[in-house]
Amino acid sequence: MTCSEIENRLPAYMEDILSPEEKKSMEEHLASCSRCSQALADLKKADEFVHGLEEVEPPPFFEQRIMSRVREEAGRKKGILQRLFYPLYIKVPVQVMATFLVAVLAFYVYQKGEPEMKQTAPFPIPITENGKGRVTSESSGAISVPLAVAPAKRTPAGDLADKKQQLPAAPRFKGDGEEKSITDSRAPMRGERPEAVKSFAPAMTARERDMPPVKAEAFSAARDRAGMQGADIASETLLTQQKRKEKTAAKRSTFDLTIQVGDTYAAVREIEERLGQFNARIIDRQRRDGEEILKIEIAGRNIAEFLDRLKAIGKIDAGRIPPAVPEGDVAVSIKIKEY
Amino acid sequence: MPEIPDPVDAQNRNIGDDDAGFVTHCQRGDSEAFSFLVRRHQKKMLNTAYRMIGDYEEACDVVQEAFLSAYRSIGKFRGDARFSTWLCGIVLNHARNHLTQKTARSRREAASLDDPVKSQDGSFMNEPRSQEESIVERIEKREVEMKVQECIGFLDAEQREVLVLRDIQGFSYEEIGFILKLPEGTVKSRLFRARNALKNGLLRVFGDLI
Repeated sequence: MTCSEIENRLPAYMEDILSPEEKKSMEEHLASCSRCSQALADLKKADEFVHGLEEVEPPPFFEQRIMSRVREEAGRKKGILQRLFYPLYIKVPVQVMATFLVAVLAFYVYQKGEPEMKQTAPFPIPITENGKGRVTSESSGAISVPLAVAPAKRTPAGDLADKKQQLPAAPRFKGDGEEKSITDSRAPMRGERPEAVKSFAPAMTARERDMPPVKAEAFSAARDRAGMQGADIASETLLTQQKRKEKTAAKRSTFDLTIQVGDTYAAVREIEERLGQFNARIIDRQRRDGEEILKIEIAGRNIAEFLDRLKAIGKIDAGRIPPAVPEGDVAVSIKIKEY
Repeated sequence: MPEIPDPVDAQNRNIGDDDAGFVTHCQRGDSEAFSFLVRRHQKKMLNTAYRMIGDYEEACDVVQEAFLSAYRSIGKFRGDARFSTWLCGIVLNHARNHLTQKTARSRREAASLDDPVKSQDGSFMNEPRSQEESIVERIEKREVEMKVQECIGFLDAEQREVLVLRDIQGFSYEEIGFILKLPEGTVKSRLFRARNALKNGLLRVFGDLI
């Protein structure tokens, strides 16, 4: 090794990290080379100088100076957190508004999601449609709805083919002429048909009359086979709206009565005249098998007097009159038939 | 809340595992726990910065900023090394940045070798405190120290870092490797070159070291 190489390795020699062979070679060289041994001595002296350097002391209040900056920083951090979470006097209105918005949103979602919820909810008692494919309701003023739009539970197409269809138990049906009727079990309606339903129900009934039952069922089955679930959903939505309107109408009290007269047409005219006196109005009129069914709306306080007037027209057979006349308007279904 | 060690006791303990409790408190948002860490490490960090920069006032400013940076980022400290090692790395980074910024206006070049390092009140901060030393001895020693510091300042930054960390602050090769993100072999070879360079610099300044 040359003196330059030896000099470069002197620090490693001082650290005693050389291999024994290298160390021995170094020592042999250092023993014979005054320049390299001088370099080693200088290196040791330089090391002493460095290690002998006096430590400087921190200036007075150095820690306090640092900590004041740290506290300032911490206060700034904490201030951000406080602005976000702590000042309740600011947050209370915000929290109240947020709670209100959540409540409104939840109500809206519930309202919008109601049909789906009803679909998934278990129906208590399934009933079977049989015979002529007609079901009836206890309500005398049931609403006519074609079978094709009945809210049948989702069934395979094959179930329709054998003419046995599971229907929701909630609506209960009863035969009523040639019409197929449906009512909402949540709001049983008696004798009154909602005005909104009236507008489309007769049309649907007429259409259904034109269509033979077998044909209607075949159409329904074919529709199911084609997987027209969109039509199902549309019909179910229609029914849902109809049920809501029925529920609203059902809140109004309804009376049923039958009046037997000699001449139906004359009796109807007389009744219409009487209605004008009591500021009542006809909301529906049906003719069926020689009978006339008038559905009227009259103030509750006038109904007793109105019934007295009717006695002059014919023999009254009151079907269902509640013992106490309620406040507000009441609906009366008057069936007029000849002796 | 864990018990905070007595400050005086904490100051006298060895630097190492004792820092962990204070660090945890700081990470939970207790800024007062940081004062114990400042008290414990301020001198070592100041000396590191001073040997790197060569100017006492500037070193104080750098250390102050380094402590503030350490507080801001103490949440990132994962305990992979001792807190003092991690803190020293921050001080070195700040010192490096400071040296870079003042290349054009180096006070060190303009300053005389005889200028003492003074504190704000004008006292000599690195002045020996022994009253038994004569004034001549104190002046001679101060001059030697200033020349040694000047020679350290002449080293390139990489060599200066390893020399300060190893020969002045006494960090292990492993810790230096952690601070500088270098393998130990590189640290050693860089240190040996630094020692040879410093020896040559001192020979130029003093003429003869013996």
